[in-house]
Amino acid sequence: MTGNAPTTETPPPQWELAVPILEFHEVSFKGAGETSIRMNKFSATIRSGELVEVELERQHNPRDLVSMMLGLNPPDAGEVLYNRQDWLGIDYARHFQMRSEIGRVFAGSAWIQSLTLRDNIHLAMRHHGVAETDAEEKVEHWIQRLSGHQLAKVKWALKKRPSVVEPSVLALCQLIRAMANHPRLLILERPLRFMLESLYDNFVAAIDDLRASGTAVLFFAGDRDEYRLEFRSPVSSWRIINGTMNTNGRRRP
Amino acid sequence: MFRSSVLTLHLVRLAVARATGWAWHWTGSVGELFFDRFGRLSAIASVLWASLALASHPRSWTYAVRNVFSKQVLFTAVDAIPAALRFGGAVGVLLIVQAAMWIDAAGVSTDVIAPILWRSIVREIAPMLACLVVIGRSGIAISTELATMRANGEVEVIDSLGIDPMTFLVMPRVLAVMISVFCLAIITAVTMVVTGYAVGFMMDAIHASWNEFYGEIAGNFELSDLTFFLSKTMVAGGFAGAICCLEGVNARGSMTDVPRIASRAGIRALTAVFAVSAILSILFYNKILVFQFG
Repeated sequence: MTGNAPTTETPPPQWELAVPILEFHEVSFKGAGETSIRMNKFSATIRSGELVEVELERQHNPRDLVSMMLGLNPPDAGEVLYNRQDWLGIDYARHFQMRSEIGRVFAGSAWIQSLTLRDNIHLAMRHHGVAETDAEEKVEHWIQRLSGHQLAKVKWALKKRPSVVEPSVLALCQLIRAMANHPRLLILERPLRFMLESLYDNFVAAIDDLRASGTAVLFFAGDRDEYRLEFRSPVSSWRIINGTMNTNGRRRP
Repeated sequence: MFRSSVLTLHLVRLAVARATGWAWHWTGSVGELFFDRFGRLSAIASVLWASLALASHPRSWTYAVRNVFSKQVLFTAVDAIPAALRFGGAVGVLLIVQAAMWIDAAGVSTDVIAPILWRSIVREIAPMLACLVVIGRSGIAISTELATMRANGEVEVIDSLGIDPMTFLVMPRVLAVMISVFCLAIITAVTMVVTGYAVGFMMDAIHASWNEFYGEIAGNFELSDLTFFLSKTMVAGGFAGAICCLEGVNARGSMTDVPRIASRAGIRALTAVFAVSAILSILFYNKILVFQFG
C-alpha cells in the first residue's frame, strides 16, 4: 500500500482484533501415545471471544495435547503462549496463576476421588482465594444455568464422591467447575460425551455468554452431532489430518 | 621358543584386557550405584527443604491446604494414639522386666537404673517406636494414595486447576508426619514409663514409690534430652514423610504397580529412619551437637 491511496481490502472482522489468548508459534508435538494428537510446526491464535472447534475421530485423545497447551508437558519444538506469556522457566507461581484462569473439561479422569463433588468443584476457587460465599454463588448460578431437569440429581451428587455418580451428572459437574470462576480460556475435551441431548441448548447458550464476556473457547468435539451445534459466530475450525492438527478447517459463516 | 613367548605374551595381554574390562565394569557399577543413591538422597533432601520453605510462606496455607493438613494430622497422629499406647505399654513392660533383672543381677539400686532407662526411652526407643507406628499406619497409606492419584491422572487434574501439587499434596503430608512422630513419641515415652512402673511395682521389681521414681526421672532430665528428642523425631519423621510422598508422586505405570510402590516406600522409609537415628546418635554421643548447647 502506498501513500493515501484508497484500498479495496476489507477491514479484518472485529474479533480478529481481539486480544490473543492462546498462541502457537511453529509448535511441534508428538505426544505420549498412538492416540495422541500431533502438531507439526503448527501456528495459530485463539483470541478473546473466539470459538475454535476441532472435530475428533473416535481414536483421538486430546488429553496430552491440552496438557502441553497448559505447560504441563513441553512441546518438542516451538512456543505456546497464554495471554502473551510463555510456560518456560521456573517461575512456577506465575504458571499456576496462569492455569487458574483456564477452565478445562477433561476427557477421561477428571476428579480427585477422595473429595466430594462439591469439594472438587470448589477446590480451585478456594485455593486461589475466592471467598466462600462468592464461590458458592458462582457455583449455584452455573448449576441452575446448565442442569435443566437434572437439577435435583446434580444437587444430590454434590454431596457424593465422584465414583458413585453417574457419568451424565459428572459431565455437567465438569462444565460447572470449568465455567464457575469465569475463565479467560475454556478448553473442552469431548464435553458432551455423556451429556443428555436435552441439555445441549443450555450448553450452547452458556458458552456463547462466556464468549460474549471475552472467554476464548477451544472445543474438541467428540462426534458430528457435537460438531453441528449452533454457536454464535465467529466460529473457526481446525482439522486433524492423519493425526496432526491443521488450521485448514472450514469457517462457519 | 619364539612361538611360546609370543603365545605367553598374547595370554598376558588377554588376561590384562579381561582384568581391565572387569575393573572398568566394576568401577562403572560402583559409580552408577553411588550416583543412584546420591540422586535419591538429594531428591529426599529437596522435598524436605521445599516442604519447609513452602510451609514458612503464609500464602501457601490456603483453605484447601489447611484442610489436607488437618485431615492428615487427624489420621496420622490422633487416630494412631491407641496404637502408640499399645506399643508403648508393651515395650514399657519389656524394659522394666529387663531392668529388674539387671538390678537383681548387678545388685544396683533404682536410682542407678532409672536414668539409663529414661535416656534410652527418650533418646532411642520412643522416637523409633513412634516412627514405626507412623510409617506402618500412615506412611504406606500416603504413598498408596499418591501413587493411585498419579496413576489415575488426578495429579494432572490438580496441576491443570492451577494448584501446585507440591503445596497441596506433599507439603501438608510431610509436615503432618513430622508433627505426628513428635507427638506420638511423647505419648509413647510417657506410656512406657507409667506402664513400666505400674507393672514393675506390681511384680515387686520396683520398690520405690511413684514420687521417688518420677523424681529420679525428672531430676535426670536435661536440655540435651529435649534437643535430642526434638531433633530425632522431627528429622526422622521428615525423612519418613518425604520418602513416602516421593515414592507415591514419582509412581509410573498403572494401578497394578501401586502395591509394589507402597511396600517399597515403607521399606525405604524404615531404612531411612534407622539410618537417620543411627547417624544422629553417633553425632550426639560424640559430643558434636548436644553438649554445645548444655
